[in-house]
Amino acid sequence: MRVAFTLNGRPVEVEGQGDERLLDLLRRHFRLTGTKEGCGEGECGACTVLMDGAAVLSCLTPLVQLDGRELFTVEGLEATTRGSQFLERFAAGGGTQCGACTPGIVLSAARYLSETPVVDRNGIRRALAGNICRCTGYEAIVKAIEAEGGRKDRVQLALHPSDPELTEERES
Amino acid sequence: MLDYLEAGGEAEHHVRHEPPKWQIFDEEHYHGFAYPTYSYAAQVVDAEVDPDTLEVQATRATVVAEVGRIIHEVQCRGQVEGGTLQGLGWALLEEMKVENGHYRNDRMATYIVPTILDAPEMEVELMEAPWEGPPFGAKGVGELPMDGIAPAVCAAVENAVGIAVDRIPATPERILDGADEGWAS
Repeated sequence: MRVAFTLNGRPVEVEGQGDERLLDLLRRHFRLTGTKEGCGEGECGACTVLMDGAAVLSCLTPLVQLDGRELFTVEGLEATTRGSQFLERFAAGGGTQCGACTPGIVLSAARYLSETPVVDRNGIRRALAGNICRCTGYEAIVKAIEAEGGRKDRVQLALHPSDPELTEERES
Repeated sequence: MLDYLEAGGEAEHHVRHEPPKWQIFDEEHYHGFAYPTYSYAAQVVDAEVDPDTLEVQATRATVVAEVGRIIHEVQCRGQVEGGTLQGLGWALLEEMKVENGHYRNDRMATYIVPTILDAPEMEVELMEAPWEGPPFGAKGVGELPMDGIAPAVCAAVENAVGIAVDRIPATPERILDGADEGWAS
Protein backbone atom coordinates (compact mmCIF):
# COMPACT_ATOMS: atom_id res chain seq x y z
CA MET A 1 0.00 0.00 0.00
CA ARG A 2 0.99 3.63 -0.49
CA VAL A 3 0.98 6.23 2.28
CA ALA A 4 1.81 9.95 2.24
CA PHE A 5 2.81 11.86 5.37
CA THR A 6 5.22 14.55 6.49
CA LEU A 7 8.48 13.58 8.15
CA ASN A 8 10.26 16.31 10.11
CA GLY A 9 8.33 18.89 8.06
CA ARG A 10 9.09 17.32 4.66
CA PRO A 11 6.29 15.64 2.61
CA VAL A 12 7.12 12.01 1.79
CA GLU A 13 5.42 9.04 0.14
CA VAL A 14 6.18 5.39 0.84
CA GLU A 15 5.12 2.15 -0.77
CA GLY A 16 5.17 -0.79 1.65
CA GLN A 17 3.40 -3.51 3.60
CA GLY A 18 0.59 -2.22 5.79
CA ASP A 19 1.99 -3.97 8.89
CA GLU A 20 5.55 -2.65 8.51
CA ARG A 21 6.63 -0.99 11.74
CA LEU A 22 7.22 2.76 11.69
CA LEU A 23 10.47 2.02 13.58
CA ASP A 24 11.81 -0.09 10.68
CA LEU A 25 10.56 2.39 8.11
CA LEU A 26 12.47 5.21 9.81
CA ARG A 27 15.68 3.28 10.34
CA ARG A 28 15.85 1.25 7.11
CA HIS A 29 13.98 3.21 4.46
CA PHE A 30 14.73 6.76 5.59
CA ARG A 31 18.06 5.91 7.29
CA LEU A 32 17.03 7.93 10.33
CA THR A 33 18.84 5.77 12.87
CA GLY A 34 18.43 8.22 15.77
CA THR A 35 15.25 6.37 16.76
CA LYS A 36 16.30 3.26 18.72
CA GLU A 37 14.63 -0.09 19.23
CA GLY A 38 14.59 -1.04 22.90
CA CYS A 39 12.21 -3.81 23.91
CA GLY A 40 10.21 -3.85 20.67
CA GLU A 41 7.00 -4.51 22.60
CA GLY A 42 5.85 -1.10 23.76
CA GLU A 43 7.24 -1.18 27.31
CA CYS A 44 10.40 0.92 27.32
CA GLY A 45 9.74 4.06 25.26
CA ALA A 46 13.17 4.11 23.56
CA CYS A 47 11.54 4.25 20.09
CA THR A 48 9.26 7.20 20.96
CA VAL A 49 8.52 9.62 18.10
CA LEU A 50 5.94 12.38 17.79
CA MET A 51 2.88 11.82 15.58
CA ASP A 52 0.59 14.83 15.16
CA GLY A 53 2.30 16.24 18.25
CA ALA A 54 1.62 13.21 20.45
CA ALA A 55 4.30 10.83 21.71
CA VAL A 56 3.82 7.39 20.12
CA LEU A 57 5.83 4.17 20.16
CA SER A 58 7.22 3.60 16.67
CA CYS A 59 7.63 -0.15 17.38
CA LEU A 60 3.85 -0.47 17.75
CA THR A 61 2.83 1.89 14.95
CA PRO A 62 2.21 0.17 11.58
CA LEU A 63 2.62 1.84 8.21
CA VAL A 64 -1.15 1.65 7.61
CA GLN A 65 -1.68 4.32 10.30
CA LEU A 66 0.69 6.88 8.78
CA ASP A 67 -1.31 8.37 5.91
CA GLY A 68 -1.79 12.13 6.35
CA ARG A 69 0.18 12.28 9.60
CA GLU A 70 2.85 14.68 10.79
CA LEU A 71 5.83 12.73 12.09
CA PHE A 72 8.70 14.17 14.05
CA THR A 73 11.89 12.36 15.11
CA VAL A 74 15.01 13.21 17.10
CA GLU A 75 16.70 14.20 13.82
CA GLY A 76 14.00 16.88 13.39
CA LEU A 77 14.67 18.10 16.91
CA GLU A 78 18.41 18.33 16.29
CA ALA A 79 17.85 20.21 13.02
CA THR A 80 16.36 23.21 14.82
CA THR A 81 18.65 25.71 16.57
CA ARG A 82 16.80 25.59 19.88
CA GLY A 83 16.47 21.83 19.64
CA SER A 84 20.19 21.24 19.15
CA GLN A 85 21.04 23.69 21.93
CA PHE A 86 18.63 21.85 24.24
CA LEU A 87 20.33 18.55 23.37
CA GLU A 88 23.76 20.04 24.19
CA ARG A 89 22.55 21.29 27.57
CA PHE A 90 20.76 18.02 28.29
CA ALA A 91 23.95 16.03 27.70
CA ALA A 92 26.19 18.48 29.58
CA GLY A 93 23.96 18.15 32.66
CA GLY A 94 24.33 14.36 32.68
CA GLY A 95 20.84 13.66 31.29
CA THR A 96 22.30 10.93 29.11
CA GLN A 97 24.71 8.08 29.86
CA CYS A 98 24.59 5.07 27.51
CA GLY A 99 22.21 6.97 25.21
CA ALA A 100 19.80 4.18 24.22
CA CYS A 101 16.77 5.87 25.83
CA THR A 102 17.87 9.42 25.01
CA PRO A 103 16.14 9.99 21.62
CA GLY A 104 12.81 9.01 23.17
CA ILE A 105 13.44 10.92 26.40
CA VAL A 106 14.33 14.19 24.65
CA LEU A 107 11.27 14.00 22.37
CA SER A 108 8.93 13.43 25.33
CA ALA A 109 10.73 16.27 27.12
CA ALA A 110 10.61 18.65 24.13
CA ARG A 111 6.89 17.99 23.74
CA TYR A 112 6.28 18.68 27.44
CA LEU A 113 8.41 21.84 27.36
CA SER A 114 6.60 23.08 24.23
CA GLU A 115 3.12 22.84 25.67
CA THR A 116 3.74 23.67 29.34
CA PRO A 117 4.25 27.33 30.29
CA VAL A 118 5.32 26.58 33.87
CA VAL A 119 7.22 23.33 34.29
CA ASP A 120 7.41 21.46 37.58
CA ARG A 121 8.88 18.22 38.84
CA ASN A 122 5.61 16.30 38.93
CA GLY A 123 4.68 17.42 35.41
CA ILE A 124 8.08 16.27 34.16
CA ARG A 125 7.60 12.88 35.85
CA ARG A 126 4.18 12.43 34.26
CA ALA A 127 5.47 13.47 30.82
CA LEU A 128 8.33 10.95 31.00
CA ALA A 129 6.42 8.09 32.66
CA GLY A 130 6.57 6.07 29.43
CA ASN A 131 10.34 6.33 28.95
CA ILE A 132 12.53 3.92 30.90
CA CYS A 133 16.13 4.89 31.63
CA ARG A 134 18.37 2.33 33.31
CA CYS A 135 21.50 4.46 33.73
CA THR A 136 20.78 7.88 35.18
CA GLY A 137 18.32 7.27 38.01
CA TYR A 138 16.31 10.05 36.27
CA GLU A 139 17.59 12.74 38.63
CA ALA A 140 19.84 14.44 36.05
CA ILE A 141 17.06 14.16 33.44
CA VAL A 142 14.54 15.91 35.70
CA LYS A 143 17.07 18.60 36.61
CA ALA A 144 17.98 19.21 32.93
CA ILE A 145 14.31 19.63 31.96
CA GLU A 146 13.61 21.81 35.00
CA ALA A 147 16.54 24.06 34.04
CA GLU A 148 15.37 24.18 30.40
CA GLY A 149 11.90 25.23 31.57
CA GLY A 150 13.44 28.24 33.30
CA ARG A 151 15.07 29.56 30.12
CA LYS A 152 13.56 32.25 27.89
CA ASP A 153 15.07 30.52 24.83
CA ARG A 154 13.87 27.04 25.81
CA VAL A 155 13.22 24.36 23.20
CA GLN A 156 9.96 24.99 21.34
CA LEU A 157 8.39 22.67 18.80
CA ALA A 158 5.75 23.70 16.28
CA LEU A 159 3.32 21.02 17.39
CA HIS A 160 0.15 20.22 15.53
CA PRO A 161 -2.68 19.38 17.89
CA SER A 162 -3.83 15.82 17.36
CA ASP A 163 -7.19 15.47 15.67
CA PRO A 164 -9.64 13.76 18.05
CA GLU A 165 -11.54 12.20 15.16
CA LEU A 166 -8.41 10.57 13.82
CA THR A 167 -7.52 9.34 17.30
CA GLU A 168 -10.92 7.69 17.69
CA GLU A 169 -10.67 6.15 14.26
CA ARG A 170 -7.26 4.70 15.13
CA GLU A 171 -8.48 3.18 18.37
CA SER A 172 -11.62 1.57 16.93
CA MET B 1 22.75 15.67 54.95
CA LEU B 2 22.85 18.42 57.58
CA ASP B 3 19.18 18.04 58.53
CA TYR B 4 19.75 14.33 59.18
CA LEU B 5 22.66 15.16 61.45
CA GLU B 6 20.57 17.73 63.30
CA ALA B 7 17.70 15.27 63.72
CA GLY B 8 19.79 12.22 64.55
CA GLY B 9 22.72 13.66 66.43
CA GLU B 10 26.41 12.99 65.98
CA ALA B 11 27.35 10.65 63.12
CA GLU B 12 29.73 7.83 63.97
CA HIS B 13 31.96 6.20 61.44
CA HIS B 14 34.24 3.21 61.61
CA VAL B 15 37.05 2.43 59.20
CA ARG B 16 37.68 -1.30 59.15
CA HIS B 17 39.95 -1.56 56.16
CA GLU B 18 43.52 -0.32 56.15
CA PRO B 19 44.94 -0.46 52.62
CA PRO B 20 48.39 -2.02 52.37
CA LYS B 21 51.41 0.11 51.47
CA TRP B 22 51.72 -1.65 48.19
CA GLN B 23 49.72 -4.34 46.45
CA ILE B 24 51.15 -7.81 45.91
CA PHE B 25 49.11 -10.21 43.83
CA ASP B 26 50.45 -13.46 42.39
CA GLU B 27 48.63 -13.94 39.05
CA GLU B 28 49.88 -17.54 38.73
CA HIS B 29 48.65 -18.80 42.09
CA TYR B 30 46.05 -16.10 42.72
CA HIS B 31 47.62 -15.17 46.00
CA GLY B 32 47.94 -11.71 47.41
CA PHE B 33 45.87 -8.56 47.70
CA ALA B 34 43.19 -8.60 45.01
CA TYR B 35 41.39 -5.64 46.55
CA PRO B 36 43.94 -3.17 47.80
CA THR B 37 41.46 -0.39 48.58
CA TYR B 38 37.74 0.27 49.06
CA SER B 39 35.26 3.03 48.33
CA TYR B 40 32.78 3.94 51.05
CA ALA B 41 29.20 5.16 50.99
CA ALA B 42 26.40 6.10 53.35
CA GLN B 43 22.84 5.85 52.06
CA VAL B 44 19.61 7.12 53.59
CA VAL B 45 16.14 6.40 52.17
CA ASP B 46 12.91 8.15 53.09
CA ALA B 47 9.94 5.99 52.17
CA GLU B 48 6.17 6.04 52.46
CA VAL B 49 4.26 2.80 53.01
CA ASP B 50 0.57 2.63 52.10
CA PRO B 51 -1.07 1.17 55.24
CA ASP B 52 -3.80 -0.54 53.19
CA THR B 53 -1.85 -1.99 50.26
CA LEU B 54 1.64 -2.06 51.87
CA GLU B 55 3.09 -0.56 48.68
CA VAL B 56 6.37 1.25 49.31
CA GLN B 57 7.29 4.50 47.58
CA ALA B 58 10.78 5.84 48.14
CA THR B 59 10.42 9.61 48.32
CA ARG B 60 13.99 10.73 48.90
CA ALA B 61 17.42 9.14 48.72
CA THR B 62 20.50 10.74 50.19
CA VAL B 63 23.87 9.30 49.29
CA VAL B 64 27.33 10.30 50.43
CA ALA B 65 30.00 8.50 48.41
CA GLU B 66 33.73 8.58 48.97
CA VAL B 67 35.27 7.46 45.68
CA GLY B 68 38.95 8.26 46.05
CA ARG B 69 39.41 10.80 43.26
CA ILE B 70 36.56 12.21 41.15
CA ILE B 71 37.67 12.10 37.52
CA HIS B 72 34.51 13.48 35.83
CA GLU B 73 32.07 14.98 38.28
CA VAL B 74 28.93 14.86 36.10
CA GLN B 75 29.45 11.22 35.16
CA CYS B 76 30.53 10.26 38.67
CA ARG B 77 27.34 11.76 40.09
CA GLY B 78 25.42 9.97 37.32
CA GLN B 79 26.93 6.63 38.36
CA VAL B 80 25.88 7.19 41.96
CA GLU B 81 22.34 8.31 41.06
CA GLY B 82 21.83 5.54 38.53
CA GLY B 83 23.19 2.86 40.85
CA THR B 84 21.01 4.14 43.65
CA LEU B 85 17.87 3.71 41.53
CA GLN B 86 19.01 0.25 40.39
CA GLY B 87 19.46 -0.59 44.07
CA LEU B 88 15.94 0.67 44.74
CA GLY B 89 14.63 -1.52 41.93
CA TRP B 90 16.38 -4.47 43.52
CA ALA B 91 14.98 -3.56 46.94
CA LEU B 92 11.37 -3.07 45.84
CA LEU B 93 10.58 -4.47 42.38
CA GLU B 94 13.11 -6.62 40.62
CA GLU B 95 13.31 -10.37 40.96
CA MET B 96 14.41 -12.76 38.23
CA LYS B 97 12.22 -15.83 38.62
CA VAL B 98 13.38 -19.22 37.31
CA GLU B 99 11.10 -22.23 37.04
CA ASN B 100 12.23 -25.58 35.60
CA GLY B 101 15.21 -23.88 34.04
CA HIS B 102 13.15 -21.23 32.30
CA TYR B 103 12.94 -17.56 33.14
CA ARG B 104 9.37 -16.67 33.99
CA ASN B 105 9.93 -12.95 33.50
CA ASP B 106 12.30 -12.66 30.58
CA ARG B 107 10.95 -9.44 29.04
CA MET B 108 10.25 -5.88 30.05
CA ALA B 109 6.50 -6.52 30.21
CA THR B 110 7.07 -8.94 33.11
CA TYR B 111 10.46 -7.93 34.57
CA ILE B 112 9.53 -4.60 36.11
CA VAL B 113 12.23 -1.94 36.47
CA PRO B 114 11.77 1.52 38.03
CA THR B 115 10.23 4.25 35.88
CA ILE B 116 10.61 7.94 36.61
CA LEU B 117 7.47 7.67 38.77
CA ASP B 118 9.27 5.20 41.06
CA ALA B 119 12.35 7.39 41.37
CA PRO B 120 12.85 9.43 44.54
CA GLU B 121 14.40 12.84 44.72
CA MET B 122 18.10 12.30 45.12
CA GLU B 123 20.77 14.21 46.90
CA VAL B 124 24.30 13.05 46.20
CA GLU B 125 27.38 14.28 47.97
CA LEU B 126 30.75 13.16 46.62
CA MET B 127 33.84 12.98 48.77
CA GLU B 128 37.48 12.47 47.88
CA ALA B 129 40.08 10.53 49.87
CA PRO B 130 42.59 9.42 47.22
CA TRP B 131 44.50 6.23 47.89
CA GLU B 132 48.17 5.83 47.03
CA GLY B 133 47.58 3.75 43.89
CA PRO B 134 46.50 4.55 40.35
CA PRO B 135 44.60 6.00 38.56
CA PHE B 136 45.18 9.38 40.25
CA GLY B 137 44.01 7.91 43.56
CA ALA B 138 40.57 7.01 42.13
CA LYS B 139 39.02 3.94 43.78
CA GLY B 140 35.77 3.09 42.02
CA VAL B 141 32.13 4.13 41.95
CA GLY B 142 30.13 1.81 39.66
CA GLU B 143 28.93 -0.85 42.09
CA LEU B 144 29.23 1.24 45.22
CA PRO B 145 25.74 2.81 45.25
CA MET B 146 24.03 -0.59 44.85
CA ASP B 147 25.19 -1.85 48.24
CA GLY B 148 23.43 0.08 50.96
CA ILE B 149 20.06 0.85 49.40
CA ALA B 150 18.19 -2.39 50.12
CA PRO B 151 19.06 -2.36 53.83
CA ALA B 152 18.08 1.33 53.95
CA VAL B 153 14.72 0.57 52.32
CA CYS B 154 14.03 -2.32 54.71
CA ALA B 155 14.94 -0.11 57.66
CA ALA B 156 12.60 2.61 56.35
CA VAL B 157 9.76 0.07 56.02
CA GLU B 158 10.39 -1.15 59.56
CA ASN B 159 10.45 2.42 60.79
CA ALA B 160 7.14 3.16 59.04
CA VAL B 161 5.03 0.07 59.80
CA GLY B 162 7.00 -1.84 62.43
CA ILE B 163 7.56 -4.92 60.30
CA ALA B 164 11.13 -6.06 59.79
CA VAL B 165 11.06 -7.48 56.28
CA ASP B 166 14.06 -9.78 55.78
CA ARG B 167 13.68 -10.63 52.10
CA ILE B 168 13.87 -8.46 49.02
CA PRO B 169 12.30 -7.25 46.88
CA ALA B 170 10.17 -5.95 49.73
CA THR B 171 6.89 -6.41 47.89
CA PRO B 172 3.54 -5.87 49.63
CA GLU B 173 3.14 -9.68 49.74
CA ARG B 174 6.44 -10.13 51.59
CA ILE B 175 5.70 -7.33 54.03
CA LEU B 176 2.31 -8.97 54.69
CA ASP B 177 4.05 -12.34 55.20
CA GLY B 178 6.32 -10.60 57.67
CA ALA B 179 3.31 -9.29 59.60
CA ASP B 180 1.69 -12.76 59.61
CA GLU B 181 4.86 -14.49 60.78
CA GLY B 182 5.23 -12.09 63.64
CA TRP B 183 8.29 -10.19 62.50
CA ALA B 184 6.88 -7.09 64.08
CA SER B 185 9.73 -5.37 65.82
